[in-house]
Amino acid sequence: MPRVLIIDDEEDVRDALCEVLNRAGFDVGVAATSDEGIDDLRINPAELVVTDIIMPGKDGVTAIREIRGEFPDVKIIAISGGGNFTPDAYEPNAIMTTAYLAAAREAGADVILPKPFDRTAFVAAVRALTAD
Amino acid sequence: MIVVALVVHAMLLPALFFGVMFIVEKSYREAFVNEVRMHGLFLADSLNSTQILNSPQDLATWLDSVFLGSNSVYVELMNGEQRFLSTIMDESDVDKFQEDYRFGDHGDDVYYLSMPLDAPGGQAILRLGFDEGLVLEEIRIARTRTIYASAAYLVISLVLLVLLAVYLTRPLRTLQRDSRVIASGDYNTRLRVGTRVREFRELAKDLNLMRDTLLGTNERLRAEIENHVASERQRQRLQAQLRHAQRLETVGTLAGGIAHEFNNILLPIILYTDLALEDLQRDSPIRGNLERVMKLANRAKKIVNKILTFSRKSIEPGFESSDVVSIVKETVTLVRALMPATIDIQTSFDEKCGRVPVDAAEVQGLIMNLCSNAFLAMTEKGGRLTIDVRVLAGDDDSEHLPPGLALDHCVRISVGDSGAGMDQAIRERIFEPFFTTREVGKGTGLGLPVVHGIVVSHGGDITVDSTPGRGTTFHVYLPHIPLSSELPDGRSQTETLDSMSEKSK
Repeated sequence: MPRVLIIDDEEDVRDALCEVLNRAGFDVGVAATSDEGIDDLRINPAELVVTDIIMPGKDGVTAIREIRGEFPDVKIIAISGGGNFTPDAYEPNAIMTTAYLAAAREAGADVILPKPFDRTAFVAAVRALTAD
Repeated sequence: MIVVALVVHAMLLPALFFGVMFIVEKSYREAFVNEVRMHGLFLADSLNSTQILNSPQDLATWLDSVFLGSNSVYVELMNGEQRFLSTIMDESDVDKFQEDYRFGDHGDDVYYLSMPLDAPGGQAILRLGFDEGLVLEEIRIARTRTIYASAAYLVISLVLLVLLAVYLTRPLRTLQRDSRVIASGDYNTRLRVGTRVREFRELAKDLNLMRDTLLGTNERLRAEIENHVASERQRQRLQAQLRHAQRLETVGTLAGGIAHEFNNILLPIILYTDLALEDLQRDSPIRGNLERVMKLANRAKKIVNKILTFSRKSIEPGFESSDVVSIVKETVTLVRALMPATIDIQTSFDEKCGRVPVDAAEVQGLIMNLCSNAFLAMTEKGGRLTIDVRVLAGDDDSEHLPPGLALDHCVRISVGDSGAGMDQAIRERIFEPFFTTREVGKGTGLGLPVVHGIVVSHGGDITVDSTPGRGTTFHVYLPHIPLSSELPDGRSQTETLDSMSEKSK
């Protein structure tokens, strides 16, 4: 069974994605932070990583770059809740959803999915990327 | 003033008259008395030096000759106790002698004089009385003449005064009236110079100069006040705009923060509801409720998107994979129609740009804004507006791009002008909201910040190159995000995204 690693700081998101993929027949691992995820990858190699972008600590784009660097064959799906996430007043430089996802794409993600997405679409993407 | 002159005249003239009369009278009198005395002395001497006293006959003749030969009306000689009178003298005139030695007194118009003589027998006195009549007549004539002269002087001076009054006061009144008119607000009136009097012409000229200066100052002050009022109003307008923008920002920040949370919450809701529906039996009564929950969750997803759109964050529905070159070409056609002939428009398009996910309306607005700024930098002397669209190859200006935008996935739109350019200080602030180098009333300073926001919301970046004196060029980088990239199994990602949005309807 192909292994999928899910990296997201929200417990409910991790659990929901986990259950969805379990039912679809995947072996699933979860991590709450980028570093936890990368550490886990080293121990438990996975074929696909599903990672959130905006997380405390190391953000998803950096994580994607690192994962890409260390595990060039791993497929990556980047997901994001988007929104303007700077704590201060309106910051014109703040990156918007597409920009987050664009950055993720440039960093090496294969597919990008803005949250919330359909179960069907998600599972289809996972299947497509782990097909070989 | 005329009244004063008249009063002064009225006071001076009698004084003058009486003064003159006094002098005239006095001199006549003195002359008369002197003459009379001289005559008397002469007569006395002639008696003294002759023997007439010794001969009564001769004396009588002598007395008569005196009476006849002069203006004496009384001649008497007292020799001791003897009294001799002129025989021609009237009876009524005898014994009229009075020692008066005063001219004009007593009402009898006779001046009496007595002269002591050297007589052989002791005291002899010659007594004479002279007629004052002629002199009095002369005095009267002098007085009349003086009166006439004074009257004439009075009349002439009155006439002169009146003329002077008219001559002087009329221009003064004109000046006065005109000043009042000006003071009451009719600033177009000038002071009239209706006189040939040099002093008044000068005065009128000076007053007019003062008026012009004051009017000038007045106008300047008024313009300044209007300016101040206008900038005050502008300031208040801008403040209101700022408050509004700030409120939007707050909402935007809130929305941004909420959106993230909501999306993270909606995902598990949708997924778990989906799983639950899958677990249910086909005809389960719970299915309906759960499907309803699903629908509501999807509705919530749309609302979150709307909030983000409202606060002008980018949401995928506004984005469509578009041919940027054709969008820019369309915009340029519009720009050409709006620019005057003094602006030379040059364009260059790289047809290999392909399709980029953009909000076409926002990109058009962005280009229009940049072109408008370029035009404003060249309004005075005209110039050249250049628009260029190209795909960037791997070895170009990498330092301008934000992290995450690799060069071979970038379309660059450049809008340049040949205007005055900007120095570093201005360049650094050019995207600041409400920063503007234009005067109050022209431009809100919100154009470039909005452009910046649009560019960033497309995942891109915008930079500015400027040389003071040469011109300015804005470079807009739009990432070539392949949302329509191929998935390994041959399906395009847009297909999966479309199927997602289908399901959520």
